[in-house]
Amino acid sequence: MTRAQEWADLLALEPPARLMDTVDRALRRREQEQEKKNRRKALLARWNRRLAPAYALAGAVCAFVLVVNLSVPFALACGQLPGLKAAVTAVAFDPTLKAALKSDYYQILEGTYTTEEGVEFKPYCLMASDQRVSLLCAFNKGVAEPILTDEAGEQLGYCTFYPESGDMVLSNFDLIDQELPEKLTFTYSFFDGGRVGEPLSAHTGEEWGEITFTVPVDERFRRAKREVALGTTFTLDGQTLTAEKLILTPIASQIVFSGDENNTADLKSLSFYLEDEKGRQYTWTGTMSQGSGNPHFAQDGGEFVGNYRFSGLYDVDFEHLTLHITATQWLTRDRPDTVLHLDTGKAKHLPEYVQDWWWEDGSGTESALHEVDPLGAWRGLHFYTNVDLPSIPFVADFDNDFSKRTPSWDTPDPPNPLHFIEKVEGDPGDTITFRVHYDSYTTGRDVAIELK
Amino acid sequence: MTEQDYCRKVEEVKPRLYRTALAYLGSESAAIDAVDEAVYKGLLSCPRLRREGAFPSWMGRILMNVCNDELRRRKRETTVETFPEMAREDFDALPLMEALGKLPAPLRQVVTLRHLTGLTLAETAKVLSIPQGTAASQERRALQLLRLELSEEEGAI
Repeated sequence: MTRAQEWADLLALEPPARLMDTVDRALRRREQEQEKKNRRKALLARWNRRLAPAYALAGAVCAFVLVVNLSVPFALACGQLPGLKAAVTAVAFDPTLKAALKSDYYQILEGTYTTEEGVEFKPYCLMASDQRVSLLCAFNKGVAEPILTDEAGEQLGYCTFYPESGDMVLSNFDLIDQELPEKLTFTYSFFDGGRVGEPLSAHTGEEWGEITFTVPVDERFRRAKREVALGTTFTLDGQTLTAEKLILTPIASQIVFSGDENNTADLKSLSFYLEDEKGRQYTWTGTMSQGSGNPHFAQDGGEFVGNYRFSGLYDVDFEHLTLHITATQWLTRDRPDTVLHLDTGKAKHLPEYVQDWWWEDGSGTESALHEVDPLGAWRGLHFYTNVDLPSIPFVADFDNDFSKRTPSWDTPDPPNPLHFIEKVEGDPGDTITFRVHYDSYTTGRDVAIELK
Repeated sequence: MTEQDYCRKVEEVKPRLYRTALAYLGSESAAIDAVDEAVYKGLLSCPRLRREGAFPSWMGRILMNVCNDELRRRKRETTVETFPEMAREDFDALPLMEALGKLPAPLRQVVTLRHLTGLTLAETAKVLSIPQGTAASQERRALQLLRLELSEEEGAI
């Protein structure tokens, strides 16, 4: 066949059948992208509503204003931060920032970053510990979604509040079972998210680029850490725990626990506060949960690799300390995985607090207890409970059996706290297996334990 | 351009878009993905297209960008100066699609836009942001290498 004949054949070639509905696919894809954007806006609005009280505090916290009757070292430290001398006013102060500056626990950062869409971002200083990384920064437009990663690109903790442009903001990343690495990489993605209180229609969700920068972590953050030995053993909910030690830093501290090898359940979460002999209380001021143990790392009779954290106490001389436990979550040891049979509707080892479950295939089918979104947007596993659960009951990180899924826990809109959905992508097959985060819990208590 | 007009016009040129993508990328599945992507991007941008007459070159540019993105991803670009080192007779013996794939990118772009997408020389030059004279000489060189004699009318919209 000559080239000319080949060319003629090419000109005569008709598109394959797969391209018959390419226009319809494009229209559907646009609709799905728009729905994603709307959900993102709704999520942002939910965060704004949920954090509105925190904003009232954060408005003072994140604007970084200083008390006029500061100690000399504190004022000197603030004076070293570029641009802050002029910002000293007598309104309020962030206790974390103040503690960090008083203890010389900060790292000044240089540089300004700009996106193609005109966002200018300036980091001012960094404070970091194994519990929390805090970045003081400012930018001129939009709302930011901050992400923190280590040298390997693994995400470190979460910053659960989207800072807005304008005043200086303090982005706090609460780490979970992670040690502070040698270098920290910050990525800030900017978008038109409006401002708190504005209607959703006032902003477009348009993306305004992102900036990324890496900071080597100052050694003083590791040197400043100090430990206080405790060695207090106590019984809680029939299980034996030992408060081994306190690890204190100016910006975040933690209690390290261990569990007895004869325990029948592992501690999965703990809410608490500490109280010294003068009645001063120390609790967690972050927005992430105060304490969680990860069953993947808990060892029988060994220390929990968990983050039972609190703020303060670093620069306090205390004689006595009392631990007040207000809520707990437990997971029975060697608990078998929960198995759901999508073909028969039967389940094995379902936690007692789940009254019903069903699989929504995206076609908008109804269930016995709930009308499902007719657009089939809530495709996935639905769980219904008539008790007020303290937190999401199922583990988000799955093993390889679930690698094809995008773990994503959501509630229908309008929010119904008794109805949880695990979104599942791809074909789940006939059976889904996953781990329960906790199978028993207590709330609304105050169990006092003398630590020291 | 309204969405309705866009959907209608894209259906008309879809076969040409497919042949262009196929010649450019060398595989049916890649060509289908490229056309899908180009049609989607065109849908998002069609409100900004003011002259219906510019549709062929506008759509051609979108498709070309999508194809180039794919090729960059595959890292198969060659430059005008680095025509593949193979004997002339070996190149002549290649099937058309393979020969197209081995052309330097600028030559391949010109010949596919001119004779598969069906753009005029002026439209092709505009899509590729090159002088019309350069487009003409690159077209001649491409056709010479492919041993093809194609007229202005062949493949034109």
